[in-house]
Amino acid sequence: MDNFLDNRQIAEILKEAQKTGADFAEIFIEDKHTCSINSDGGKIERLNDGESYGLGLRLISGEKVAYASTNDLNYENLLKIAQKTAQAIRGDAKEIDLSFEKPLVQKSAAQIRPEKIDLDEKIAQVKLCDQAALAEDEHIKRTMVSYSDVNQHVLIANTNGLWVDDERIRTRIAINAIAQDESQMQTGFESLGGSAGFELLTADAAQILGQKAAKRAVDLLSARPCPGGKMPVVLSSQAGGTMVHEACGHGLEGDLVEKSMSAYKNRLGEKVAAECISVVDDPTLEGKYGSYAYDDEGARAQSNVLIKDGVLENYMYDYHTAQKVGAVSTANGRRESYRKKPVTRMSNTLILPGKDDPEKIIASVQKGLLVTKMGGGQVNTLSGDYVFDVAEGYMIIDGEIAYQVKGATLAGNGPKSLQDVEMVGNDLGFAIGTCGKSGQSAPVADAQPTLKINNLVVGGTVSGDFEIERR
Amino acid sequence: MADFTKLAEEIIFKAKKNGAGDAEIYISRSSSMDIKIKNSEVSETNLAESLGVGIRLIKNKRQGYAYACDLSPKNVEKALNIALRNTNFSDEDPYLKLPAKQNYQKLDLFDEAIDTAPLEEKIALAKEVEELSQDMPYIQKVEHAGFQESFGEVWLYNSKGVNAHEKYSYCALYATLLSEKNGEQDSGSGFSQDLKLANLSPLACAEMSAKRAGRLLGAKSMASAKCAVVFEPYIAAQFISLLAGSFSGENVLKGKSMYAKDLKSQIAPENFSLIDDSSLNGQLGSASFDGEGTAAQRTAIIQQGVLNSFLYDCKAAAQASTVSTANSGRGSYKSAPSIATTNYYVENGSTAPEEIIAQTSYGLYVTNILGAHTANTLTGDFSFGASGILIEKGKFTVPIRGVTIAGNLKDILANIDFVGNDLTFFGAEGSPTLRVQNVQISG
Repeated sequence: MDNFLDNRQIAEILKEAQKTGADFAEIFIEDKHTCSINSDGGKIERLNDGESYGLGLRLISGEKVAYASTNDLNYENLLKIAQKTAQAIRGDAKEIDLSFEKPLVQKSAAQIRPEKIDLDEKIAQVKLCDQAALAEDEHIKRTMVSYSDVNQHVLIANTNGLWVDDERIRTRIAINAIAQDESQMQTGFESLGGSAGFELLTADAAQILGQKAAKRAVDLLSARPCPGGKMPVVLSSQAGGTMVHEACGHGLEGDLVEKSMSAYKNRLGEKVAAECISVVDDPTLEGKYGSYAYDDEGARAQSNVLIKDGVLENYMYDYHTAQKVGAVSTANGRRESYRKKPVTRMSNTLILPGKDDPEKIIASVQKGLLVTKMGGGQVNTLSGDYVFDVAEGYMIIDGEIAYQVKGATLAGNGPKSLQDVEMVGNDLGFAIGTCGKSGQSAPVADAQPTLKINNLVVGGTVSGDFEIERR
Repeated sequence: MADFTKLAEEIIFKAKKNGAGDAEIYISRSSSMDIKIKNSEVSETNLAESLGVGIRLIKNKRQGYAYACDLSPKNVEKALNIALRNTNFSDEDPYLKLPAKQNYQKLDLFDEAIDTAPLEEKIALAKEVEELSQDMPYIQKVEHAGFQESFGEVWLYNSKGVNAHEKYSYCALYATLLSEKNGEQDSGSGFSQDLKLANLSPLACAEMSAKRAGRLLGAKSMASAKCAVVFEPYIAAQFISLLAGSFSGENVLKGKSMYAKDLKSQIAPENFSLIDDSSLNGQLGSASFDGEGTAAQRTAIIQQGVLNSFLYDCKAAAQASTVSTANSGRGSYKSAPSIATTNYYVENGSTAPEEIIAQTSYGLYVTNILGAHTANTLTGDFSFGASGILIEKGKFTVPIRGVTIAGNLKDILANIDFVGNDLTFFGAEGSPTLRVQNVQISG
């Protein structure tokens, strides 16, 4: 970071910014190296490899926030921006002494740094993934593979004397395989990602990913339309954690609670879920896609218990929201880039494992839906109504898996669904995702054990009754 | 006005010296301001500025792209070298092509008034939205109201003589409101946006926000049914935008469009036409030239129900033996251009929206969908959470939430029967009210 500004200049900019009386001023400098490779139909079509950088300046005065961003890091320009931003605040200059005596420096724990790997080798992994999918089944007609590694180096300095220099490396590979027969087209998606370097792609990881995506797409060719209506649903641990993310995660983000936009507002200490449910948000898990050492405000990451045995214990907070409600940051202040002010965000969100045998959970359902892979989702945090896509699902009839279905969505209400959880498996499965909120996207991971939820609305494509013959 | 002709010529010269057949330089500069109001006071301000350059080369039929976020000789040179290197790693594509120099029509896309109006005037507009919103039915609290503006400027040069420049601006008012009735809460957002400051309407913004916040209070679920669905313009535009990828000429060539084999076939009713037009004055998706420098034009994608044309950039057009429809889009200087819609809208029909409701004996008027991004745009399969208002015997009866609508986007298009006369734009996408027969609702 020294190549942009030294600590004396940073202190001067913060001082300039605080001249109109802001309680708090903060600088966030980001230097980001991204390498992304996209193939379509086996051809490398898009290759992006470059550096971008910029600075975000934030001032807080009571409830008020003034933010500015630029990618012109010339010192004189930054002083001008500091003055302009400060015009939004009216008050007396604060006397501050900024020496940044305790700089915190964190290097990424990535074992194989992506910049040490030749482009050829990264491209080879993309092609490996593509070819594995094509070789898996003759119905696979095309694949789209995307690979990316990001090294985001940030410097966060504020008028509380904080100085955090943090390096985050994330790597991700994903494939979308298209299967086709005479009458239809189906797609299968798989992704792998982590707060890790090129070691993420172990010997056959790309290959297995391609095979899994291909199999998912091909299996869907023989799946039947999903019946719609209310029924019990089993969410397998392999299905990922979109449900916990949408049904309760967003509603427990402090900024939404503070704005009265959450169904979980004013419910601390209350029972908001079945007793078998405990929910944790934990950015400290090693190598997960939503992991970090410091959040984007420089707060040291910590594990947060949100719901314990069904009782709401705490919300997630960023610095300013916590200040507004008299709480402390839980290190959930995240931002997409230097252009955006931090907002409360999840990291890795988990429903903790319970006691039930996953097989027994399935066996307990007379008629219902088994979800083995969830797709994307969305929630209305105020009402708690949420939906998510079922990427792979099966009808359960008399406790047994009967046949695969396609085109299903699950719709429910967060607080109600969590009350309606009847069984919690003793297993745990992770999935990665990119979460969108306030126009910003952030890498996250979610996890859950196998769960049985009563009375979810299954949005199917055929009418309700599904007493069809088994096969 | 800044002119980067000399810089561009230098890059093109160096690129050619290093074996590139063609080169393109795209420079964009933007700035924006956003002011949020809460309890009659400014609660948040956001200023942003950005500048960058993207360099695209074609060498040995391979594309190479790279960017720099300043125009310093050192970083531009570095980007040029990365772009040259990247041509070695891309796969060969015989259709890669840049457009030749051409004439552009002058569009009215920049409003000096946004730039010169005093800050107080902008704050006053946002405060007016807040005040008007407070008095709307069922509104309990204005979460925030706000004003935003942005300015952009692009310069585009290529080795075939393109030397283009354009300035544009945009402004908007927006609000998010909380509503309450009998202890039940809901929220809703709305906006008024335009290229001209004088056209912003605090009342329209407050009315849209209040309508979206208040009309579903007291909503219940409904029984599963296969029935008519009426999409209000906001939702209809969202549905239509999900089809955009299927009309991309590139996706058609790659077998990734569900309409790949339907050119000149009837895919929608005769009263339905879908247009892409970057040459409209005063619209958000307008530009006198596209991301590669092809002059703006109007393309009827669907003309009276018949699939008339796909959308092309230069490369896909060359492969399909046709010409570009000026649909090369630029998300940012950080990535190479790709096919995108511009102003993308359903043409007005002849039926008033009230008449469409009156003609519906039983159905759901959809005002919100959840999970639009989960639609499978390759196969067209979708299943969304939905809320809205039940229509019984031609009249709105009870608000509905917690149901899903599911089906295939192709069927939705084919089963449209009424097209309203209330075309409304939301950003660069627009549609009038649409009614669709036989949609599966699960409740």
